[in-house]
Amino acid sequence: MSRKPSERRNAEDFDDELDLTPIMSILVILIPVLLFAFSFFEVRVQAVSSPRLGTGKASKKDDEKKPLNLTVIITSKGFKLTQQAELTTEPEKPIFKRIMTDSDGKEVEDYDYPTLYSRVLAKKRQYPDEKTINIGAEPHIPWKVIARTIDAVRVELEKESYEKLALYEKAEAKEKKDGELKVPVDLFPAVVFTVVE
Amino acid sequence: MADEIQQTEPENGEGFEKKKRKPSRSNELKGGLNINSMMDIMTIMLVFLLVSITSDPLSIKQDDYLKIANSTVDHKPEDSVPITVTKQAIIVDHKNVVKVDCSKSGQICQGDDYKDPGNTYSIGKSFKEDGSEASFMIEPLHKRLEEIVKQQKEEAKDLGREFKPVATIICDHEIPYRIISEVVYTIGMAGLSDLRFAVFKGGKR
Repeated sequence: MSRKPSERRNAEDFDDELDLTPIMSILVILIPVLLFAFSFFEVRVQAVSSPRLGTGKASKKDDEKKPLNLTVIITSKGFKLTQQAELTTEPEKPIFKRIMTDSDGKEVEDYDYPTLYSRVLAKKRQYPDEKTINIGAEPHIPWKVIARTIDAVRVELEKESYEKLALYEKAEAKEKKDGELKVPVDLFPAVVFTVVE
Repeated sequence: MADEIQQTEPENGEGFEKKKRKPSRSNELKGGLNINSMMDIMTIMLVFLLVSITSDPLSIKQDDYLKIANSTVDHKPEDSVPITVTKQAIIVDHKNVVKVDCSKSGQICQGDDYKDPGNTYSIGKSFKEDGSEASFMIEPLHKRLEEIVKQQKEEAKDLGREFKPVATIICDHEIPYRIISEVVYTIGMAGLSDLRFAVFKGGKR
């Protein structure tokens, strides 16, 4: 209902500012809740494929060119590399764990990722069209080791080989120009999980 | 100063009464704090946090049972079915689907044991196909994923979009390859052929 003009004239001044205290109280509660739910790390995803079941029929193309079928098997002692038997004359030597100095200056017994990278890069040089690598592991090998192994075989780094683990850990991926963008040079980007019996 | 003005008489002494000037607002002392600027900061923070949280398709929260591995990979996550594998359970849609067994030196893990490295993690055979230890199929996970795939296919059909069979596995860094293989196999059998593993960008190679 509208007020009479005389009432309006005689009325005392109102404090026209909003009372923000309840809104502040809500914000003070909401912000810690959201901060608690907020992740301060950048999440990325690593694509992998599961092995296809069934043998299928061999195509003519398969007959002409055998796939490399490069496989890295992670054991508790180190890495084993295998490939299509018809494409090699002698078996690959295993890459054993060794004591190395990491980028924090600590002496650690760890998987020899620099050597694995060099060996896989050498394979890529021999078979530049190959994009797929199989990765298998013993049942107890933790995911963090598998994730680092995928990192070692996925992209090419600035150097062909790294003697020290500390240098390898800090190495950047080699980049090429794709139009206006710079993209990493792929090594074996298609990772397929295999099961070691 | 306002009081001084009110008390000043005109010099010619005619003695008219000057109307009292209302004290200016700036001279008034207020009891409370001015919270307007604080409100601005809080509102900006709130908007920033809401945008960040809603734009993250995975929204991973780490604790003693879930620590994500680091990687240098740079592919951003997309809309997918998230499957979380912690040291305690396999979680789909915020619900525990399968319990993960943990043992330390032959004893069942309790409390702080989960913080230690070198524990043994496995899926009980009762959850597997035919109750067989050797089986890779985790039955409750398969059933739940089939339901989700069916639901998402119907939603995609209603919206006139193509269904993308993408699954993202959010896996603790200590989870052994055997469990990963079982989860990957089960996801594949449920019709999700495109698999991704969530990692944190950065750290050592």
